[in-house]
Amino acid sequence: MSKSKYIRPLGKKVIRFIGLVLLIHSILYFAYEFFGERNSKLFKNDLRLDTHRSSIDFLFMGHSRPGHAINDSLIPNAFNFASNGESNIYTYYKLKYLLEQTDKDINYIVFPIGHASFFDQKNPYIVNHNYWNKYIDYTELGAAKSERFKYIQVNAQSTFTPYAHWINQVLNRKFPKLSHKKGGLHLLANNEKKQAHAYTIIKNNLESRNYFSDISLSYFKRTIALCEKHNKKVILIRYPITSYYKEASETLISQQGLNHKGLNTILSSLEKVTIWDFENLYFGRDELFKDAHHMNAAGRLEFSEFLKTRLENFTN
Amino acid sequence: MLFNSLEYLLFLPIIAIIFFRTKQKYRWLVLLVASYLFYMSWRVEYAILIFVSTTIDYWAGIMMARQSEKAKKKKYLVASLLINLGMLFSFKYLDFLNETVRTLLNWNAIDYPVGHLNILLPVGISFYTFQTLSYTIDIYRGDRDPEKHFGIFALYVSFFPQLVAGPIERSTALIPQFYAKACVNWQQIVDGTKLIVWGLFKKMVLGDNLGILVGYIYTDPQAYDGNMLIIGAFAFTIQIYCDASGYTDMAIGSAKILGIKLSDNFNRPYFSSSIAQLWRRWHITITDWVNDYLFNPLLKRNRKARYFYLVLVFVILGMWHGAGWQFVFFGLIHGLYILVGRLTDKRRKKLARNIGVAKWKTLTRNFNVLLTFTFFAFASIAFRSDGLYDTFWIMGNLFTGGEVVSHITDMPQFNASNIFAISTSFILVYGIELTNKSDLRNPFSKIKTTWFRWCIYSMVVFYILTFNVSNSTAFYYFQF
Repeated sequence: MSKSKYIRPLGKKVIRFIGLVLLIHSILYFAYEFFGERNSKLFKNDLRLDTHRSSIDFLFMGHSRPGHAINDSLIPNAFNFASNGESNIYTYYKLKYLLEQTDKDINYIVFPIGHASFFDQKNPYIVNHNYWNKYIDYTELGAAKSERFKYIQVNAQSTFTPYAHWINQVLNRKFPKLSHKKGGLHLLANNEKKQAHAYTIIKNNLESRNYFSDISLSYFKRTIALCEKHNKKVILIRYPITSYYKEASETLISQQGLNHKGLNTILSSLEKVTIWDFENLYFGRDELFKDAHHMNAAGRLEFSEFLKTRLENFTN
Repeated sequence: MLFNSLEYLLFLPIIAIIFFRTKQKYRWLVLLVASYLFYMSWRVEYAILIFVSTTIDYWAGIMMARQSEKAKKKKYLVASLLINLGMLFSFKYLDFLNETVRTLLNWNAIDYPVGHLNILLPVGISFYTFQTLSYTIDIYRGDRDPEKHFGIFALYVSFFPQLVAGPIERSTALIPQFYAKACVNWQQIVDGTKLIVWGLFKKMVLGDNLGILVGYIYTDPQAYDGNMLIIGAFAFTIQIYCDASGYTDMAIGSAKILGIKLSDNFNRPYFSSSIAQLWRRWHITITDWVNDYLFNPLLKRNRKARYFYLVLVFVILGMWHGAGWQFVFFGLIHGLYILVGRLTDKRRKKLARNIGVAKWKTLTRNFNVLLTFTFFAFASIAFRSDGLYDTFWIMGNLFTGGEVVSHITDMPQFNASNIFAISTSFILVYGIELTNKSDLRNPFSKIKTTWFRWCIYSMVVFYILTFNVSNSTAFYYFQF
């Protein structure tokens, strides 16, 4: 059999198969664009920021704790840009984008510190990766974490198949009985159970995160430097948590030797930065919490009112 | 560089292009450089280790061929065995021995001043050590002549598709292929790619998703009830098969693209009707190795002790898998399974005839398959547990019943999507394995309807893209 006779039928088959794959890919891609991306909280929040007026007095950034604790409609000209699982690394890139590529004029930027605020995802943060693509320089981040290939791979994967994670989310939403239940603090009957719940949360986080990461800390320093470069005032807040969470966190930190030695030195060396500690503010007020370290709607309302007064006094 | 990484996805085609673009007489060099680069991607120092092993065995082979007397040949064989097994022992078993001595002395209230050695196990050392040993033993026995070309021999030891997790190749099968002229063969490239993708599917979709569930259960087995422990045991049994056979598929597929045929390593082991048969189909190249170089020579020495040797060989096979008492126990269970199987074989057949079930051949066969799988799953508890204590604890608590759903919903990383991926991909893997009995290198060959076959191809591709576990782990057999 001549070479051309042999290759041609095979080539046709391969081309047809690639065509089929591209067709399915396109269907899934458009389904994601239409049903998935537009409905996600993260994208909606981005859209809200786009339509927000360009001058912002208080921009709240960081992970889920500020995300749950701040109702930005209660604080004049504030915007809550925090998102779940957002580490200092991701915050840095988000802020860099906002300051350097948008016309937003921000006065104060508020970051979270405190328990588990200097974490770093052990693996590239694949959840809503398509969203983060817009902000993050994965080549730089991969190099910083000495995992260049891993980050390029995740970046490529999420760019070309953003529907992958969405399909997983849809399945988890459709079958909630088979998915992880985070539970609620209000459902737990006694203090012992609440304490156990706090331990479980931290242990679960320890599975996927480095609790105190040097890279996260270095990105935090870069974030502060970025704010200084753009003449932005910085407020660091230790957000309210329950006493159970604080106890569990401190126990596990000392047990596992996870304490970050350089953190206190760095915080005390920040001269132009205001630090507020509200961690103990609602000890004994469990009704304000959704779980051991996230505030619920009532908590959000009370804390936002409290913070509003505090910010007004501070700025006057 | 894992097979399921972007690096490998780029590495393999680049090497294939360079390989086919290079003149035949230099192709070995391309593969050798690629193999060393592949191995050094874990740690650069590993290259020194494999080079030492290669040099020793090359020298031993040449020297043995120069001797006419068996006794003189033996000296070089012993040198090769001592150095290779010494390296294997130092890296793999020294820490284990150290810990065992510590435990024994501490039991007797004696202080043991030596701390943990924390020796890093070089990836794939068990595989290439056995591969080089087979070469020197073959020369000693006169089964083959020594390889004169050092580069080709070095390539035989380090050939990247099978370097870190097998199949363990015999020099007589692999070395001649490095000399043979390979042309670009599109059919082979397509078949090899299909096998790689199928291996990726088994590993990344079914294996890794099951691995999340298994990980939770085996990390803290005391937190779970009997039913969950049973689920964990069965889940791990499927996971380890998908992981190991998935790797083998990718290894065979990668080699096939380069025009090299590797040995089959897994032949539908979970469809075996006895444990002995299962071991003939599970990691075939290691089982053959153990038979040829350990069990049969022992049997020749003393046939009367054959049952003792049988159990001993399985204990060694267990220890080959890992340095820990749980692996010794894993081997022991399998040795005993096969021993009991052999001793009761006639009686069981007679019993089946007497009670009249022997005539229902399909039924008895399926029952035996199920029973074999269950026995294997039971023994695999030792394989996955963190130690002997956990092994015994799990085995002792298998039948304590208990909740399932609430435990599963307590696992933060294990959700409905994982269950969906596992159940649907399991049906596909099971269906393919059930129907494809003859052509292991072309898993889809039995699907005759074109449109259905293409649907399966598409499903495999999109499942890999959608349900792969983002923090996919290394292959389980890498640690051996």
